[in-house]
Amino acid sequence: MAKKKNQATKKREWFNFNTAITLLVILALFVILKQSLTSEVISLEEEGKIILDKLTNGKEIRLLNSNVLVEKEVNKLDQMDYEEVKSMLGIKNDFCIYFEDANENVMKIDDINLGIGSSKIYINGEPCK
Amino acid sequence: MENCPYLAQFPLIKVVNMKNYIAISIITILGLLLFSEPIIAVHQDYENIEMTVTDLDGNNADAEYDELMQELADTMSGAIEPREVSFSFNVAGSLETVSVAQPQTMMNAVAGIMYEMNTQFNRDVTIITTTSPEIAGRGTTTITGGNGNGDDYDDEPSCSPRNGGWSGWSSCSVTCGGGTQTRSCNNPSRSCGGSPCSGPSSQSCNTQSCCDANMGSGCGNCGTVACDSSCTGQGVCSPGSTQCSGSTYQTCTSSCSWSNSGTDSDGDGVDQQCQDSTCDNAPGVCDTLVDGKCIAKTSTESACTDNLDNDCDGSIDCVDTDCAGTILGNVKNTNNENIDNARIDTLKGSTIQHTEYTQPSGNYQINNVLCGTYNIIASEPSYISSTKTNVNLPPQSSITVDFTGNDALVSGSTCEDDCTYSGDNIIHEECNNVNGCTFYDATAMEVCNFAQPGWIRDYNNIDPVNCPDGNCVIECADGIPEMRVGVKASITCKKENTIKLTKVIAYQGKLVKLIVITCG
Repeated sequence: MAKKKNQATKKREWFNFNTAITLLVILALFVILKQSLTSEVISLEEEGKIILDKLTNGKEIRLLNSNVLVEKEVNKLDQMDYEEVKSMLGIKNDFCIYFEDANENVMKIDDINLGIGSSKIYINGEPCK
Repeated sequence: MENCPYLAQFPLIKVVNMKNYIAISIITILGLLLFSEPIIAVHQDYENIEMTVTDLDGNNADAEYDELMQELADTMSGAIEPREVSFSFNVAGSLETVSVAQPQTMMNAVAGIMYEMNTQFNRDVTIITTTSPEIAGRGTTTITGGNGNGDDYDDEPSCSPRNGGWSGWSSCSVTCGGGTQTRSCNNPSRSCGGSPCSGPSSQSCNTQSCCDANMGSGCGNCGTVACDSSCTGQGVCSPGSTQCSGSTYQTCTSSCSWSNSGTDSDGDGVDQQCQDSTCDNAPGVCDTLVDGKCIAKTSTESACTDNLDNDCDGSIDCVDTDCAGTILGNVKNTNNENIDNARIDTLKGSTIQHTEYTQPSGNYQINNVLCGTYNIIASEPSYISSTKTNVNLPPQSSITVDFTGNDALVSGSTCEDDCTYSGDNIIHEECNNVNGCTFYDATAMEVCNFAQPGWIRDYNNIDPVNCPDGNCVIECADGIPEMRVGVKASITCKKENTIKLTKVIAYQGKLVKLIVITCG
């Protein structure tokens, strides 16, 4: 009888308060981290949509006319300061705009080098800007 | 049996059962048929002969006839004893005599003759002599029709005259087709010198056609009902019905014969109603469906804006040369001088559609230009080229595009080192080896002509040195259009997460992708 009691006592000790708190903290950290990563990705996607929307339908810059690219507007955007563009678009993350042909090769538009955007983003090893 | 007083009068009947009674009845009927042979003979001889009863002098003997019938009736009922009677008839000029001795035979024979006279021969009988031996109760009696001798009825002392009266009409001999019905002057019979009945003793009846009863049923396909209810004059089909006889559509006419009634407008020998193309339903139709719509075929593309292939030649609207038009005009320089041999190119996007050169008068004319929107470039090596964009050529029309006035060509070197003209930013093959412009090779020069710097073109001539795997393109790049190896866009970002959004847009007549990269 005494032996059984000792075993029960050991079992309760394994599920003590400290262990439970530790597990909860680990679980909470995991959830928070995952949520943070997810929200960050979602934020990037949303900002990408904002860029597309404002550059194709915006007032200051309108790259498309009936879905046809307007070179003049592309050049206008290319001449603008990058931070100014970010401010105009209201985004926080870095971005890069460029063009691909049907074969997914990078296309040059008019006088633009590769793309328009952040120098922290590279296209084929070259800075976007 | 007790309830049948008639049969009770015949004791023999009581001892026979019903089976025997039926047998006796059959035997009796057979016997009557045998005894009726003379009747049949008379009937056959005198059929269809109209008869009247006259005496030897040719006078009417209806009364004597009626008396004779009464005599016979009395004899048959047992009122008088029958004796031998001899009748002679003059029928249609032939003298025939019936003489019978046995009472029953006499009665049957005479009754049959009388019946025939009444019902069939309408009394067309001349009674020459009517003789009878003595009849019991009446003494020696000689019935002589019509001659006034020995007519014992007239001579009977206690007799009072009684006029004859008609019986009712008998039933008609036939139910249709015309028969006769008779009546007898025996209701009452004339006697003792009374007046005979007046009026005809027979009349026509049931004269309606037997066909009337059968018409209108069970006889289709234009047939008619005959009097025997059979159908005659039937056709091969029922009016209004249709069929496909092979590939020929037929309709049954009102005269119940097949008549071709199909539509074979395309002349392929198969009527539209017999599984031909669904288009084959109107004159001059096309068997080709266009977008599921059957269209009327015309000799040319009659309508150039309906999005249909009207003439079924596989080309719709402005793609069809039937809708083509003409572009003409004049090219001058800024001194208002006509430019000879200036090149005029029409382009759709970057593809040259037509090339023409001006005459010494500076005029040009490009025929058979498909309707649509073009960029038109006038160029001459000694001049800066001039371009007119989005020039619309309506269907089947002629437009004038002049390069004069403000659009006149400006003198000067036109080619720059990127092989474009100084005024249009379009690469021209004419600039090869001019002002630093050098194309990589003939293929690059061909595919980049009228392209813009930066455009990518397929490079079909494989350069084994620079393009060992053959998967190369030509980039009509700044400076010298050169071949380059196509490189897929590779994006890298210093931060961890990258999102790529793609929007397909049009650029210079081609579909390209607008890419947005966000990095964070």
